[in-house]
Amino acid sequence: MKYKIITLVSIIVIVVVGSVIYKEKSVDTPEKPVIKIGYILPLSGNVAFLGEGVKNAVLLAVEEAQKKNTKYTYEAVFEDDGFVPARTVSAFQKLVDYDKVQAVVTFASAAGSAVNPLAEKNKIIHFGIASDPNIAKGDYNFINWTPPVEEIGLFVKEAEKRQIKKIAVFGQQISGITEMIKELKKQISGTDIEIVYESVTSFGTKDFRTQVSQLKNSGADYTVLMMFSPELEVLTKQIREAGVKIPLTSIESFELSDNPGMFENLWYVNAADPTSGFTKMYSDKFQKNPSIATPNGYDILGIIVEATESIEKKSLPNTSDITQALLRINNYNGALGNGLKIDADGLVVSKAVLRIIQDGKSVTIQ
Amino acid sequence: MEYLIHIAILICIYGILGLSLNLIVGVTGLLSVTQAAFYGMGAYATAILLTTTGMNFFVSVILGMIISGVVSLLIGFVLSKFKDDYYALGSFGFNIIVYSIFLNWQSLTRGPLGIPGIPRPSLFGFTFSENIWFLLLSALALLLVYGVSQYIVKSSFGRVLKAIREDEDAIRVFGYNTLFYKLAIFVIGAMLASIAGSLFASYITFIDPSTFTLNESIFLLAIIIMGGLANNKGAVLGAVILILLPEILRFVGFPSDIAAQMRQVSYGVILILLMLYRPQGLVGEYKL
Repeated sequence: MKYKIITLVSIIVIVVVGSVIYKEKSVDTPEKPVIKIGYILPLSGNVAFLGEGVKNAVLLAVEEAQKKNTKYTYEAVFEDDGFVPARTVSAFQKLVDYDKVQAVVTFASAAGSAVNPLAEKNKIIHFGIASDPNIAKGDYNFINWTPPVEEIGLFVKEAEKRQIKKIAVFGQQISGITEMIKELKKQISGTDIEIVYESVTSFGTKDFRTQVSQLKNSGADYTVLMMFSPELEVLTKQIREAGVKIPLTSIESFELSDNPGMFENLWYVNAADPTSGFTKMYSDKFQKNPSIATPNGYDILGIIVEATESIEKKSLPNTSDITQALLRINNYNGALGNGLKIDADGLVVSKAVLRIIQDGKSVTIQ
Repeated sequence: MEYLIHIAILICIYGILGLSLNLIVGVTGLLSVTQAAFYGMGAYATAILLTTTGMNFFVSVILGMIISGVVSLLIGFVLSKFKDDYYALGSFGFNIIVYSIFLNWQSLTRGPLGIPGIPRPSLFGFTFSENIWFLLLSALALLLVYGVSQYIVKSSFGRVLKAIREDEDAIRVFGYNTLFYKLAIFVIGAMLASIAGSLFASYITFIDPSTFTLNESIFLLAIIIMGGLANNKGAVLGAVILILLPEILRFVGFPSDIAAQMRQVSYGVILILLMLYRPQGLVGEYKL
């Protein structure tokens, strides 16, 4: 038995080491030099549906890039991290070391935070689809997500317009939502708006009856939901069952629901809208509407293509060249609209929008 | 090569965790599902001390061990009164409490935002910034923990632990205070797990509570069951296999639209097959 085990472990080790060494020594000779972009997405686990949406959009973006007469061939490589930061790091190392990617894209703030220092150290371009602005710190790090300051800014403006004074907030324990609540508290200070009730629960919480009864007595004018599916729908159902009449609104959440009809005629603030052209292209190809963050994933590939193609260099541009070119992007026409640019902090500048659910679909009103 | 070094570092970290849990579950027969809590305590101690006070990594490791030791002493005192399934349930609850503290004590742990920018260890002006050096450090830590574990298992203290595992009532008849022995090994296991946490925090340079959930404790239990209970080599072997396996599956050419799901299914099937044909683990000496 001892020898069988030693043989088994030896075979596993030889296969891994051999495949990595073989890959390192093998020489690809495609017609055009290849630029590889690695996408680390949650393709398994609770939020796999969001990762799948981004993956589909990236496949579309690759198709679009191939149609153009580009100097380089662009390839997307996908890795699953199951929404666990430690696995994001493993995926990053594999993409950089084995697939030799020039750029890496991560999903959500925790994954972005884990990859940020590695991207700087390895001089690999990193785009985070995340709201934590710290992820864009450094020379090689960028964010393509409407920042919390934009979304909350629009929310506060709308709340003032509607003369909302007291709000109740429901959130979940995840970095993106924590950043949002922090920003909300910052922006309402000095206004007439106050948070009269706040509840932040962990993923998997399904019984909100205690919080709902506290909400009932809170005197809030509006309830702001910042939650993921399915907790979002469970909470909404329990609020309605308890007969609470306080109107609901959200920041992004209604967009994340797989049952938007539950929120009929409710307004909310969302990250930048995908263009109708992108929505149609996506729906035609995959027979469903693009989920949240899909235009961001699509645009990241497009922006990298545009930046790389703009480099006047006979040899294959390195990541430093591409980074410089990215900072020169100031009029990119993509899935999030026209005239997109990257600011000096590494943020792809996009505006928040005000939306409403009508006939079970989200419609932009501002 | 960096990828292989990265995997080797993870194997060292999980090897330490496997060894620490093996002392509690394998050698003593206490079904503990709380090791991720002590792993997290070490990680958070190092992360907080390094980012806020600029303390030396090695001092933070020792402080992390002390914190884990004190907490495990308190909780272990309660757990040591339980046996079998009740012990497992108690430890299960403790893991959830610690996870909730990581998540909710935002002024200290930053909650779900996590702690970014944790520096790499340095000693006498030398920083372990390159992964190869970090691997050396991790391997040294693994060797040290392996040595301590072997010493415990082979000592008279270890023999009493094994006797507790086989028949606690019988050993008590001979005048041994089993409560003390169970408590002592629980504290030692927690302190060793804390070392792995410190290494993890400093290596990944970012931690958040999602790494230290109950799922992680179950994964650690799977490592020692897979490798073989009550055998230190088995604990390390289990870490090698369970860390390598998902990485190998990244290279299997599944169709891209179902690759992630197929990897998960394959991982599960391989574990089931291994348990079917080697229920005592690969080099196990004891079966739960």
